Amino acid sequence: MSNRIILGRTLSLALLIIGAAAILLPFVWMISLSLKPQDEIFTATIQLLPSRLEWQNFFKAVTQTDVPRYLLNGVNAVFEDARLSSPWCLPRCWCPFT
Amino acid sequence: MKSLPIAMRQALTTAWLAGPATIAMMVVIFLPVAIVAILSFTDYQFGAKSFQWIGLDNYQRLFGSTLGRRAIVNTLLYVAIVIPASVALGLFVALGLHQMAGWAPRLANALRTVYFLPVAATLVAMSVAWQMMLHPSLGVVNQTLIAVGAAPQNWLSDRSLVLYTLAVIGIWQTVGYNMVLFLAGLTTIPQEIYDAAEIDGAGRNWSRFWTVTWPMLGPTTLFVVVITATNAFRVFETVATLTRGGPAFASDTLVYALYREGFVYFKAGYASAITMVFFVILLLLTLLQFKALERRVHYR
Repeated sequence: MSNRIILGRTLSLALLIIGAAAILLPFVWMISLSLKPQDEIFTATIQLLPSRLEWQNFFKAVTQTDVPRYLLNGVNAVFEDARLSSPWCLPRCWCPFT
Repeated sequence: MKSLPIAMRQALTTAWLAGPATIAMMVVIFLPVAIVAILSFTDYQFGAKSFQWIGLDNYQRLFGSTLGRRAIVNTLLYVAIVIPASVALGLFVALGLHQMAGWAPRLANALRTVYFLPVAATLVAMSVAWQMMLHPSLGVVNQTLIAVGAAPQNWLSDRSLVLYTLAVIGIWQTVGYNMVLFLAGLTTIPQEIYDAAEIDGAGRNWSRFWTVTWPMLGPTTLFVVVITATNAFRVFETVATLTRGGPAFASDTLVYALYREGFVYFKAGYASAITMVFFVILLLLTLLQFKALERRVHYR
């Protein structure tokens, strides 16, 4: 393998990883926030890892809000959509006249 | 029953198979568009018992007023930033990952998944994450800027900045989709063409790209540009969740204006006029691009 190829691969790898890091940042930040205690969310320092894992946030979201109901609504919408639209659309797929 | 001629029976079968979908399309797509087109010439308000014909007044208001013009200019600027950036970045990432798949397939797969994440994620939910990151005093973006000695910015409340911030989020969200489309396009280029190009003297990456890859990607690029443009013209979620068109309508866009006029102020007539303009822009764009590029992009 020539130096040229190695250089090219290193360069493209570095660029792709930098780009991927930028893409990933909001997701990482969201997960980090979801595990932080309230007072650590509102501090003016960059801290990715919380001092302690606040699982309470997830517990609250699942038990004290309507989030489970919203998730169920989403599932219902998907199935109803498929159920109601397929009788109209599926016959069209067999139609020889396009 | 069986005396029906075969042509008749075929026609009946066709009607039976294609009929329901055609009727559904008429009722749920064409009919509403026609109603909106009619409403756009009236001063109708939701809930009102009557309306008056006011001709082109709604359109005059959209193109003549400062607010209406700003929504149009903002949308065009947003689109003008997002299309080239998102398409170019998508192409670069796809080219890089396509080559990497040859020597590190697993890593290439992992990176491809990462780039596609924003497409699969819900933009409204991710807007919350962006809002936290862009917070003027507590957000990670400004903290980083301060740490390296640069001036912090009010990303979402600075009138001259907010549209660019939204454009960056738009690019962040669409690069993955464009990458997947370009990757699909890259796999359809036969290896023989590259071999032939090499024999003809196009051995270097650069000349191989311009003589084979880029021309062969023509149809894919056309498709990617059209898809990106239609999505960029539709920008709504980030505006609605992060800025509500503000500050001082600096990030107001066509679809957000239509939402505000129609569903907050209940001005159905004016909202219908905005909808028609939006509809015509998308229609023209799609037609124009297909007409202009139709002849040059197909190698058959």
